[in-house]
Amino acid sequence: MKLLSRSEEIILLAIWKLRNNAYGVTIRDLVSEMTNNDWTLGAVYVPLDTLNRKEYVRKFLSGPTSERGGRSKCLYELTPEGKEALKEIREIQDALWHGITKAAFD
Amino acid sequence: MKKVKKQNYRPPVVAEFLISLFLNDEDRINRLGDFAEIYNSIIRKKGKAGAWKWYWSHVLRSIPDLIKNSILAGGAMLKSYVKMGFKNIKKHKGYSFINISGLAIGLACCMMIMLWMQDELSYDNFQDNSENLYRVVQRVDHMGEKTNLARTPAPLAVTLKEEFPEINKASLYWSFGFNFKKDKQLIPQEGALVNKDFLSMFSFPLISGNENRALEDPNSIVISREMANIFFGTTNAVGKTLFFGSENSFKVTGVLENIPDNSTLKFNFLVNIDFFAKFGYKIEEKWANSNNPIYAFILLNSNAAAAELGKKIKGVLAEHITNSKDELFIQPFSDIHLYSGFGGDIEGGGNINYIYISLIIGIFVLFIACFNFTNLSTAKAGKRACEIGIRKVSGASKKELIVQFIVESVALTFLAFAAASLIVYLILPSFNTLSGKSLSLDFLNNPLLIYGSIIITVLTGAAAGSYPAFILSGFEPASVLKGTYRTGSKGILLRKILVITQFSLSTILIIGTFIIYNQLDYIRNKNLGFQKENLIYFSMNDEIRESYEAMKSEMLKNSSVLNITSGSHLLTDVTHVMGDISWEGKDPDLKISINCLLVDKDFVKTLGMKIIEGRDFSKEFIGDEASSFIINEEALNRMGLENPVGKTISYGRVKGTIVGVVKNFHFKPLQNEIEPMILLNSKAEQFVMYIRTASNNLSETLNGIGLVYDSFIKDREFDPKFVDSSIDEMYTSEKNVQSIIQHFSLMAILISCMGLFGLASYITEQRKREIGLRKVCGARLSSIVVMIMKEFVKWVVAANLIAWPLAYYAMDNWLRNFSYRIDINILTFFAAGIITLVITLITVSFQTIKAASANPVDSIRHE
Repeated sequence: MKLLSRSEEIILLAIWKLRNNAYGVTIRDLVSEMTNNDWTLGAVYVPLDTLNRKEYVRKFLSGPTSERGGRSKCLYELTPEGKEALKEIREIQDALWHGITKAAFD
Repeated sequence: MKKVKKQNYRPPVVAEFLISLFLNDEDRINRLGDFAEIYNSIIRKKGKAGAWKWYWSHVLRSIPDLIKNSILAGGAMLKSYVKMGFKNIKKHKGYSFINISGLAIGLACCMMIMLWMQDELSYDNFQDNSENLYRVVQRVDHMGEKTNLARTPAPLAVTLKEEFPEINKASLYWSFGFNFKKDKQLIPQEGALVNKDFLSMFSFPLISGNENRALEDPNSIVISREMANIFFGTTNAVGKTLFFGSENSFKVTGVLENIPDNSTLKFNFLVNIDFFAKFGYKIEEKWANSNNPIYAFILLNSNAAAAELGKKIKGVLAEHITNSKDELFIQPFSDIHLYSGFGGDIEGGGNINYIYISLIIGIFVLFIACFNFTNLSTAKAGKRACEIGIRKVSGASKKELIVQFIVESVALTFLAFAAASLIVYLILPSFNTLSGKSLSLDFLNNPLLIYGSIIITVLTGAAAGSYPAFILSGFEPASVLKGTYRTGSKGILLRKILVITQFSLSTILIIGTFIIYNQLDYIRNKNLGFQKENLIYFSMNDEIRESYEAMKSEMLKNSSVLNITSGSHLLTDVTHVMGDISWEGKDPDLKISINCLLVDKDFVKTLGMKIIEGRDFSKEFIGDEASSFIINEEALNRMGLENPVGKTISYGRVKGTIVGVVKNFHFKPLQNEIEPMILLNSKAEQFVMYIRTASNNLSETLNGIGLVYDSFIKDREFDPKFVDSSIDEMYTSEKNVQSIIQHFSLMAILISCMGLFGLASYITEQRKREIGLRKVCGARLSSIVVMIMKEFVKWVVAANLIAWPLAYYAMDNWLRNFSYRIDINILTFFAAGIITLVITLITVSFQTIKAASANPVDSIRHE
């Protein structure tokens, strides 16, 4: 099974943290903050759609909002498979970094 | 709390429009909303200008990623379509197989044609100087009639170089063969006599030796790698000596790299023509047109002067030959292979017309394959109507369905392409043998082949699949599920025309196959005027000639040796002997040239010819030696003599009497008329020895003869050849044509059958309800089958009626190449017609019987 790419991992984690409020703008803000890098919306949509195709996230519509003139927003949430993928990449991360402490970088 | 209505500002319209182009339909509104949201939050902090700046920069920076997104999305969709496509193909295995086979044959045909065309068009492309290389050709004026002759007089090339400064280098090229000696064996090799400039004009590199100097010395020879290996066992042959004849030799001054297959000029060795000077050959005297295969090539300083030069050399022949009205003109070297067709041209030439024809055939075959494919797909459309209805109901868009079906066709076509490659790979060896080429399916080194094939495959798949795709995706779910959908009846006329065309083509090919077979059979078995079976021959050198009489009487002691004789030429190779003849009472204005064979007195007997007037040569008549002639019937006719026996004639320097007339016999391939010929009994110029043996125990007899031979001859191995095999070999190119046509016939028939199968499916689907109704009304199975078959029979008849006149015309033309030919028999046409009829009935019967025996309830149920 193919592993999550870096960007996919980042987006997934952001969606998880955002709970019920994960959509384009919020995801972009959060990941930009977490990675200390200014992401464009386009850069967010790419891994987002890939994750959608792989069925790691699921789209759902929020209720109508006033900001968007009564239309609903398109929110994303993690699927169980998505969580599995995160778990897997985390385990691999731990295994890879096992034994290398922060001190080793000095 | 007072509700504050948040004001929504609209982002810059142009930028918004721009970004929306890269967003797909589904998400567009939402994502534009994302952009707008951020825009609005920024406008509060930085004002309109700042927000504008942000928006534009964000849009521009997002575009590359969005493009990447579209590509990924498209790729993912494609992958799913392809997977679905293959699943569908597996589901309908039977029809998929037939479709793939039909396409595979069509594609295989196209690939072979592509390879062949590529080869033909690439001839001589390795010549570095081809821009400035030309050949000089004659325009011969023969009693008012002008014809082009590729052969030119030997001294022409060098003379032109001297007279015209525009000509940088020039050389003649005289196809010539020698029998070189290796130990006691004679090994014949084909090569050419040239002038010393030859190697520096043409790109035939040497692996050892210097191109500019290798042919300077008249005694030098340049040989091919293979020749070096054959005669010296190594390619390091420079400096070695090569013997031929009784005491002659050459010194090897260069070894040639292998000559590419796509070269018009093919040779194993090169010799400077000045070599023959020491035998008294004065090239400057040889201006008279001979029958020898001599060509003149020139290299210009620059081709700018070509047209001018062409005009200037026109009258050169008249300057050197008295009363000559023949003119010269120049032809670019690169044109020779495809654009010549001159008289006496170099062998192995092609013809640009064949290229056009094969291109047309290739396109036509592909078109037919596509058409059959489309036919079959649409015929089966009904079966998939249900599946499609369901998919549409569950939300598939028409566009998606179209794309899916096209992808399915293209997938099928790629499978067909794989099969086609396999077919070509298997067939190529025999095709190469037949055509004398060495084509190979080399995908790695042949970019044109691989790209061309892929493009054709994709286009074919898309084209062939688009029609069914549109039809299939156009099914309305409601009517499909109800079962009221009816496949369209437009275009049936087009289908009929195409199937009939395919069948006409097959019929023509079948007729052609029969007629060619008959003609070749006729040739092989025709009485040649002498007996060719059990007749062996071999060439004579000085040693053999000296021992001839003694060896002959010794060999005759063997009871299985019936007769022995000798002659100046091999019987089927009498092509270079034309001389002037005169006789008492000859009309001085009558121009007549005559072939002459110098023979031993037992010639007529040994070869089994018939004397029809007078007598054969015989040792009882002393005068026979060197002054008796026997003429053939044709000579008798041309000479117009009443009582030829006893009349004196003179031929060249020989004066003698006619002692007999021999029945006409063929001494040239049967394409030619029998020409006048005289036999002169002489001991001079005997080069071939003939031995007639009894027909049984051949190997024993040969052994016996061999023993006697070896006891007399030390310097040459016994190497007997058979006259009948040699004659058979003369017709190899006709046999090849026969083979090629046979294969094409088979392929055309197969493709037509597929077409017929597809059409039959279509028609039976169409008429399903009608059949059902008839059955309900009591029609019997057999009458229904007959009813459907009648349609097809009508088409077969139509196809035959079209094919017969065309086949007759084509075959009549081909047969005209032969002076001795069969008459076209009308039974052949009927036979072909019956074959096509039977094939049609068999192909169609399966479908018709299945349709006729279907349960009528199912057919008319959904009313």
